[in-house]
Amino acid sequence: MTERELIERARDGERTAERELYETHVDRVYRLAFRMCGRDDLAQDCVQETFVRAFGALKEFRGDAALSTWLHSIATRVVLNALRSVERHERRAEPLEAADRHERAPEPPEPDLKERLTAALDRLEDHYRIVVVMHDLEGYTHDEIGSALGIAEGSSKARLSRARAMLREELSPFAMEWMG
Amino acid sequence: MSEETRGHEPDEQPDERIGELLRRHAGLYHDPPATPRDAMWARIEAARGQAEGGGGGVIPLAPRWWLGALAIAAVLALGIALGRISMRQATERQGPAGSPVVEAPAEREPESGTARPGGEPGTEAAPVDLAVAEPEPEASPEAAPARVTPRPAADADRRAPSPEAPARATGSDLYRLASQQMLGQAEALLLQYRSDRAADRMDPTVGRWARDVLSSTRLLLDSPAADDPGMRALLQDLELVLAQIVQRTGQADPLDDAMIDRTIENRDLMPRIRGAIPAGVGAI
Repeated sequence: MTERELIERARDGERTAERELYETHVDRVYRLAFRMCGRDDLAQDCVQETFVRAFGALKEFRGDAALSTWLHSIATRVVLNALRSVERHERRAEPLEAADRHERAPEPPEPDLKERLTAALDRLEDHYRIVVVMHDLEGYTHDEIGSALGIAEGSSKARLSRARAMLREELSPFAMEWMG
Repeated sequence: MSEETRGHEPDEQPDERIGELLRRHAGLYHDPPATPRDAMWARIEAARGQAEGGGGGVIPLAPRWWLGALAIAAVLALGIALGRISMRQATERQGPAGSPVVEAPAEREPESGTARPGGEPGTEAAPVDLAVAEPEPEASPEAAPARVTPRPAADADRRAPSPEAPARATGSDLYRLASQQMLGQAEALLLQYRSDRAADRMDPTVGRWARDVLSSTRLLLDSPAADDPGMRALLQDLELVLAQIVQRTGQADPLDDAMIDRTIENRDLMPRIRGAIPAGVGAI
């Protein structure tokens, strides 16, 4: 059965068709959500929300673009919203946990390249980080990234370039190591 | 995406080496575990079922929350006032060792509600009296005495250990009562919030209600009611959830809702609230 047929059936409320569409796309959506959130519970929330929204709006899907493109445009919005919510939540919780944090041991003074890389990625603003994650870690094309984020392909490239420049700056102490 | 397009495009960027580095170490950054397909599908089905079911049969609470908020504010205000009185009385009973201030305690009985003959030249009671007479914000003249007066008196009779004990017992009991009433309000609010969520709608009064309960919670956090570590922790957790609900209202976002739900669940908020409210005390 083609994807178009599955979509038609899912529109008619056939749960097996929905399940099949879910099985086809869930891996990439989950991977993207997990890469961005770094937490399984939040990633699962995002996936759930993405598919609930998608199935709810399937009647409005015209089929001009591939279903995966449409699904990813929902997923990226959901993920970015979730990260904003978490940030708000953590800002709110911060005073309550401040005492705990003060008692924690300080960070190791000399992180290695891998730790530095992880920290540098975490510090990128989300709209840069998502481009790096999609392109360099998950292998999306700029065309796909542009469609998912609702930006031009050129803007995706520009964001990636900017993000990499920021990473290069952060990783400059290790230049010898990564420049080879 | 086809395998062809999944490959990385030829990159004209000068930072391609960074790209290579990232790809080489891709497994280090939030490497996803195996996709929990079945678990997530079950959640999706449950969420859709809940949305379609509309949480039927849940009867929304009447929005009389402001009565409760008013009563809580009144109880708090009275508690603060009585606390000050008790401190003053204790000071007076300690006698002249401190300062030559206090004579004629009857003049300062606040229950009379009449003007004191204070301000007489030669007395230095003015600062204390001013503190007592100072109107507390949000005090409600009709609600406070009716709800509060009998209980401290009964407690005071039971204990009666020393001359100053009744006044002290009165203050702490008032704070306890205020806490219980506020927790009753919070429980009702959270139930309302959950039933609205289940019905996929949100009563606009919930936001205002949450704001008022949040104000009361913060007042209590700054009061002797929070001296008890258990109560303090409960109030702090409640403050967090209420702040989330206040922030959420107006721009509904399912992820915000999920986070609120998780905070309520993870912190065992409902059982703890119910555990802190004795039978018979509930939302006003």
